[in-house]
Amino acid sequence: MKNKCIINVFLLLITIPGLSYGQEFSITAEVDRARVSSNDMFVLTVMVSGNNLNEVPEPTLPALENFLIVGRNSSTSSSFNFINGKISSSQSIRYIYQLQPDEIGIFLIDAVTVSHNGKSYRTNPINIEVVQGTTMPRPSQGGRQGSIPRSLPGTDEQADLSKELFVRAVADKNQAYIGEQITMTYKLYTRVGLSNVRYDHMPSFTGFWMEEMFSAQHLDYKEEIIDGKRFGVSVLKRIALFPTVTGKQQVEPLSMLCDVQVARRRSLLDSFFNDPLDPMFSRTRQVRIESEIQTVDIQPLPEAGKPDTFKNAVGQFTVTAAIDQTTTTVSQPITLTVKLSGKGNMKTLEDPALPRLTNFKQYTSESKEDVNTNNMRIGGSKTYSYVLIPVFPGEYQIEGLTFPYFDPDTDAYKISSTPPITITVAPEQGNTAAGFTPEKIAVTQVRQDIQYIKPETVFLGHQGSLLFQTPWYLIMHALPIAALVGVILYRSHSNRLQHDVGYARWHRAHGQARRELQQAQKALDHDHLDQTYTHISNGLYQFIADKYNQATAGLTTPQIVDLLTDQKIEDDMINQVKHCLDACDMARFAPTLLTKENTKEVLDSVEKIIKALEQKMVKG
Amino acid sequence: MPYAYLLFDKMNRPCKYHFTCAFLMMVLFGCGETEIDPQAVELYRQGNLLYEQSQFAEASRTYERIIQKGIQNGYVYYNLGNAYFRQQKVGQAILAYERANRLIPRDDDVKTNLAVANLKTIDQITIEMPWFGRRMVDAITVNECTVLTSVLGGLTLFIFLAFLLARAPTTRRVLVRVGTIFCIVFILSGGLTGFKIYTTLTHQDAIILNMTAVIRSSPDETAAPLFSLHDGTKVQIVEIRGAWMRVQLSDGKNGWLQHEQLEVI
Repeated sequence: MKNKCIINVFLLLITIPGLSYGQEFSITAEVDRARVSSNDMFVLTVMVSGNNLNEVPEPTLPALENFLIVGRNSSTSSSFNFINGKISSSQSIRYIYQLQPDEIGIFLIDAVTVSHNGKSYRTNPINIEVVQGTTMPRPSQGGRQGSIPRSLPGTDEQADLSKELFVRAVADKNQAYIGEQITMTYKLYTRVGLSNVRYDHMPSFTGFWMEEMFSAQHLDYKEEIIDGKRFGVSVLKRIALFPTVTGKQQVEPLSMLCDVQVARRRSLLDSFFNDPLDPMFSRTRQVRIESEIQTVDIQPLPEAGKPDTFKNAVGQFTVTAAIDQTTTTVSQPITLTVKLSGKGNMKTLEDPALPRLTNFKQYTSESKEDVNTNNMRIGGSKTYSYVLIPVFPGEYQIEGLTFPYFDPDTDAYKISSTPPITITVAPEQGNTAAGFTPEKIAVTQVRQDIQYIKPETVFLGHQGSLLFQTPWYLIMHALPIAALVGVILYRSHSNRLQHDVGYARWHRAHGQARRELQQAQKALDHDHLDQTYTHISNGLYQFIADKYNQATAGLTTPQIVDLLTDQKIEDDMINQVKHCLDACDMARFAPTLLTKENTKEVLDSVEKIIKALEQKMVKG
Repeated sequence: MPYAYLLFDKMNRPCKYHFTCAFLMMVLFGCGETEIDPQAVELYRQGNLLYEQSQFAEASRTYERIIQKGIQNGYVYYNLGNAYFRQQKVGQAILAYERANRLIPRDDDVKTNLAVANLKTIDQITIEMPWFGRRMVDAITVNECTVLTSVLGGLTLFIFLAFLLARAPTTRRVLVRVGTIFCIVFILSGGLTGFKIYTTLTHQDAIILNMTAVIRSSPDETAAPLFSLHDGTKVQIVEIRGAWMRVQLSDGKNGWLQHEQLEVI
């Protein structure tokens, strides 16, 4: 069992190469037109391709009842690919049959068969429509047909071919600043006859902004001698590249396909057709050629001297600003045209910043771009038109526009600027009475900052303690409390005055005595001495009676003396009181003895006594 | 004391009614605020001059000298804050503005500058909008509250005195009603004042002055760091233990840090 397994594996391994060999063999059939007119011919091409075609017989055509075979032909072609030094090749035989339709209608060309290695291969059947009379236009053949300057000798060696036929990519500089133009030129060099030249793969130019400056519509050869050999040289493409990424950047190769006419070699195949004089019989080889990888070193723009407003414009530029009229009236539009022209990548340029015009309404009307190639440099102009509508009359200045750029030729930043433009705006005529209201513009704060310091005029004393901590504030609260106490005292006093006769008399005694003495003084001034004495004695008696809450009428001098003694009034004072009372009695009984001086003396002493008693007496 | 001469007569003897005089003087002139140090005024003038010449570091030193003299003045702190702000010392500026805000709480410029300075701080702390009552309480300053209570108390007392003196029964009835209302308002105002005074005396805020301050879980250098705060952030001091302070953010996060990393407002 185990041995059998091993044998099976072996068998499998042997058969694998055979399988792959068979897969590469193929047969296809095609016609050059699907519609053909009855009086025209068409071509049926059967292509057999594979690795080893020497033993393959000619395919068997199906029965073609409605067509007549007017010619037959075959061509062998080998294609070689040179990629990274490796050469791969494939072979194909093309059998070409020219057919003439017999009748009008839709016909089916059945499968073409061929047997190879004991297997039968079939193509798909093909439909063909035959129409009456009119000739269909022949489709133009793809690729570019070149005219070769002279007949070049055919060559057999593949290695030699790469020296005879190649594509070169030439960059005008290997080092550039970011945004600086690099011109890539692709040229085809050949010493052999070519046909069916076409592009196989176009580079993608990753890391670059690409502008095509030139692309050949047909091959236009010029002679050039390289290493003593004469080449036909044709420019294929010229491409302007603007680097967008710094560092070493690679440009992918451009590859092309072309058919090379080669001198025939005698082989078994020729004898098979046995018609060496047939002019249509030829041998071509499809060749793929590739340019080398180009490396360019992209440097960043220098930081030194970079203007603030720099917007990555590299090249040489000039900015101009023009206004269509310098005088206008309110709400009459004027056009400001800003033109940016020069050399560089125009498409990526940012607009020159228009200064904000507060007294104009501003509209961007159009922008025009014009790119051209002059002297291998991409350049052109961009034109912006701004419509300005003045809002207020007056004289305004539009500030000059500046456009900073980096000039790679001089390795320096430069600024192109325009002179300021002055516009005179006249007031609107006739319409002023209508009351023009300008458009309101919001005031926007652009930054928040602290308020300015306080001047010296502010109060600069100590503010540290709070109000409740300051003594004077607390002391102030004694005021209402004092008021409360005062009111309570006053209230009880006035209550007692109302209800307590003795208390009331005691408090009013001094006041009444003083009134009495004032009247005495008045009487004295009028020289009514007896009246003066009456008032004095009334006052004194009244005072003492009130103070002791006694009836005035019954009061005698000894009683008064007793009362005063009880009050612990000094004897001296009592004597004075007694003396005064005696003087009053004397005056009543002997008025003739009275003198003004005497009376005045008594009045004064009574005043003093009352004052002294008022202070000395204590409420009993 | 500039008004001290009121307390003495021409012979430089104590005035007979010196207590009454002193009392009246205090009430009339509010003597607690009348002292102005001419040296402080001169320093303030110099500071402003330096500030105008954009010598902010010198200006801030000059203003600081006024404060070193023991004078706590809101306008000095305000200008000091400005000088620090111009020196990019955001934490110091915020500290000065916060102090100014305590001394002159009704000054809009202080509030504006404090808000501007707070924009420059790194820490983002979400502060929830306090409820309506709390905002009403915060809207009135301690001094305003104190004066309001005093005035209300005075008015209540006045009405009571009028009631004592009035004799007509209708007048007395009206006075009782008005007096009751005033008394209730007075008691409420007194409660509010008490609350505000209590808050002022017990609530201590501080400003972080280190560029980065690490807040730890316990008052210990080796304790696990909980979070870090940056220059200018306001924190509340909850507890003090030696050189360590327990601080709390307005969103409730709290922890310990050494006191030299912050400055009490």
